[in-house]
Amino acid sequence: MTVILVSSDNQDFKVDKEVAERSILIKNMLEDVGESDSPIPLPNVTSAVLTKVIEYCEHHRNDPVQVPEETDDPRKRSNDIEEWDMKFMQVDQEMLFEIILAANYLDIKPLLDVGCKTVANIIKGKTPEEIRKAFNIVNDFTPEEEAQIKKENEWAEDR
Amino acid sequence: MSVPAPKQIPPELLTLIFDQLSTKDLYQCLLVSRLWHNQAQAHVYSNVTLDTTKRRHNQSLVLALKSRRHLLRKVEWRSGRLGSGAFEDDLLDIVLDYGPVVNTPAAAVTIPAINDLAADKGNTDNNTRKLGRGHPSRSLSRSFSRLASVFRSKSIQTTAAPATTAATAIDATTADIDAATATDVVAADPKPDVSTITRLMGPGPNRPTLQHFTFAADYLTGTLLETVLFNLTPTTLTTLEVYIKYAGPAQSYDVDIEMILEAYPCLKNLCLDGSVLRYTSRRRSEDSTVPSAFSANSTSASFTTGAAKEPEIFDIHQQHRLEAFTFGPNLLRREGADAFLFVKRLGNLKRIRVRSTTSYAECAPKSRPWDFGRALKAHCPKLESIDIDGPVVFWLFDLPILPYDQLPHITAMVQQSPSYLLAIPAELAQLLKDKRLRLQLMDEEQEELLEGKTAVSFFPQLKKLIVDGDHSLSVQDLFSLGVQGRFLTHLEILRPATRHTEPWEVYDKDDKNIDSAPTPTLLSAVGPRAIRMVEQRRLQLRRSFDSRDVILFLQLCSSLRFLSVTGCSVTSESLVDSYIAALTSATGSSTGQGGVGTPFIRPWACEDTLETLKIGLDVPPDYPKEHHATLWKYLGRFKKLRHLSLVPTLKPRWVLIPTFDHGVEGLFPEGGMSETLEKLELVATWWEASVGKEMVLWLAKSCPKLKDLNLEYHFLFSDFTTMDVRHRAFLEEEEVKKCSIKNIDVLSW
Repeated sequence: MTVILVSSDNQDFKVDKEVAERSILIKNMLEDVGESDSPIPLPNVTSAVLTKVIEYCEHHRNDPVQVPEETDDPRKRSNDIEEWDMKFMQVDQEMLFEIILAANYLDIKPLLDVGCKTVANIIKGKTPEEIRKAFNIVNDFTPEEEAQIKKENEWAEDR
Repeated sequence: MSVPAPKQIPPELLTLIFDQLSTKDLYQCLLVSRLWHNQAQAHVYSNVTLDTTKRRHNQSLVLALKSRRHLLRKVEWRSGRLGSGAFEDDLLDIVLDYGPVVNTPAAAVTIPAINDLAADKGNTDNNTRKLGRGHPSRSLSRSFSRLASVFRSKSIQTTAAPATTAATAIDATTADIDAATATDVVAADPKPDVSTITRLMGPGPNRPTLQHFTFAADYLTGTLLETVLFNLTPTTLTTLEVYIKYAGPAQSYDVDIEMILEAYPCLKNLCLDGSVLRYTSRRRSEDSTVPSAFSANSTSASFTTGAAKEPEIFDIHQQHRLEAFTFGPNLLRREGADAFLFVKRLGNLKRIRVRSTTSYAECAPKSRPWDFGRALKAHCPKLESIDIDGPVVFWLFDLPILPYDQLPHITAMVQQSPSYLLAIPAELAQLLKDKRLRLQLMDEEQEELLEGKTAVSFFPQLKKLIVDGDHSLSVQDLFSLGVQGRFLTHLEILRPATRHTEPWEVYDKDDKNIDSAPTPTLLSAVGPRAIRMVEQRRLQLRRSFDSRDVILFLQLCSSLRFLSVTGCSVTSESLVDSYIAALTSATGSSTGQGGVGTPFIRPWACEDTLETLKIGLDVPPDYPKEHHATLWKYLGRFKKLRHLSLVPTLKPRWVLIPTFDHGVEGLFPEGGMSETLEKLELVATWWEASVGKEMVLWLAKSCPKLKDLNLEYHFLFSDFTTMDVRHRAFLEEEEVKKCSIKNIDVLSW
């Protein structure tokens, strides 16, 4: 069975139901609506982003449902990105953020995790200046404020 | 042409991204920009660990926390063996927002003036105070004014639970405070002990709304624990972990589960760990004046006084939210009809963990695993995960004691005497007869268990079972689990069952058939050894399991997806035993392992479901190559394996040999695990240094999804250093570096 997803720029995407249902949002919508051929509008996702999201869901269509471990500490997991996912996430930053936002909106937890881990990996080991440069951020602190923050949070520097 | 600036990270994503970062990286994020600072700060200060052994480190953290209490959600407090000294004040200040009073001599406290009380009243409604303002250090008179107000509130709200009392106390400080009452408090007891003060004081207006509190310490910090627990926000706390590591000489530490459950209605995870913990109940206690959820069981402890009213804030019939409960072995030693009454409210309980560092000699004699199991079965229908580590007598199934009137067949069994025994000396004949009886009784018991009629599961929804340490998982429970564990998907046996005798002597002392008398026929027919064996059978005494029992279990249990039996040796003999038996029954004669015929291994029930298999197959040194090949081929039948580990944790000398000579290619038949395998762990001691590259490339070609390869080398007789270098050499080969297996680890020992 297939479903039709409509992007914010009115492009239709015909996908297998089991692929579309990797999104919990779509899964719930389909359950609520029941058997229907009506297209599903996704006003927050552009066609370019939806293409990527569908590519991800196609690749992971047979993955088991993710069950979080009780003691799962997300801070210890950011290195475990599968090779395919890593290549999939090799896009420009704007697209990367759009994919993460779409994953958040569509409620696709594994994609959201991979996206956040990818950004986290960019941040890891960098100085504030390097992070600013990587994400095009302007430093809006005064030197005094910066010194104050360093002093107040000294304990965290080497943890 | 200029490149357009990349879009900035949307603020709503920052929090998800920061979840993935360490504190050290978050520190750098604090300095990026104002927006990042605000988001990162919430992460840095939401989850902190105060380790009193790291003093220098803590001073800066403590200082920072005092103006950021509002960000705190999780606090872990860890102190060393000799208490935590000055940091106790800091903990109270941080998590309860009150100043250092614990170490202040009570006698020095002065009675607050009416003006002080009025001034304090002006500061009581400051829960919404601006961030980072901090508060001036409070004087003792201020602290004492709060004590007065709490006391007043207690005198009105006599039915409040401890933590609720504390919460109510905050509200009470906003009401008119009767200065005369405060004066009366002190006048009535001019030298109140320190703990009374700290407990009655109540928290300050900037008390954080903690969701998670962990307290790991020894008995010396008991007063501190009690004070904190008495005053945490009861409606936000979802996880409470208490580890009492040491109770002092000849002391235990009392904990009242009923009171904790009543005081913290939103708890989802409760951990009361430590073999020194004694699970008492105030309701059941002879000393009805004990008001606290925790107290040191010491005659010198003075903090077990105070209000004694029954808390009735929460309906005891209402189901508690608790989903995970960790406890020590002493919980199973509670006695009396209402010993496990608290379980009645735990209808949402899903996971239990038992952590034990005690000995069986101490915990086994009074343990009541049948009583505990029945209570859980009756009231916790959602219980699906059990994790046991260390000595504790814990049963998975109820095995009713057999009445003597149901044992005439055993009498007959005892009386049966094969004719060949008549021709040998009487003493030897008796020994053989006893041995025969023992085997008959075991066979009969096994038959019963495999029929699944006698054993009743305490945990019919069990999905996950982990046993570690000196556990006492019995063969009876294992077989019954194989037959009845329809939902069991995850099993880890990480250590062998205990060799101590105490847990195997425990039986259901409440069973109605316990005192039925043996028939005179039986008594007259058997000797003392046989009587003991019959009695063991009758009382359904548990016993340990071996490799063959594990294999039989695996032939029965059909739902497993994760299996780790690295803790007990699984021998190749136990696997091919079925083959010998099958051949014997077919031909009437037995063949040895090196004998003729096609080796046969009886299938495991989980061949089509298993995704993770960790097993250390122990094979004899002279094991024929064709039998190795049979075992490899057999392992190849697991079609869905994603993770295969053939590295035993017990380090036997001889394991399955992964070479072509020994038929390792049988592991990857067409349509087998080659399509799914992602991680492989092998003992590669038998690889020649020159074939390492060949084997790795073969594995990479056979399993396209294989990403992790862990190789262990056991150098038993060779020069370690030389061998180590030689066996690692292939890692530097260009083809190995470029192959699809990304992580290749080589461990030598």
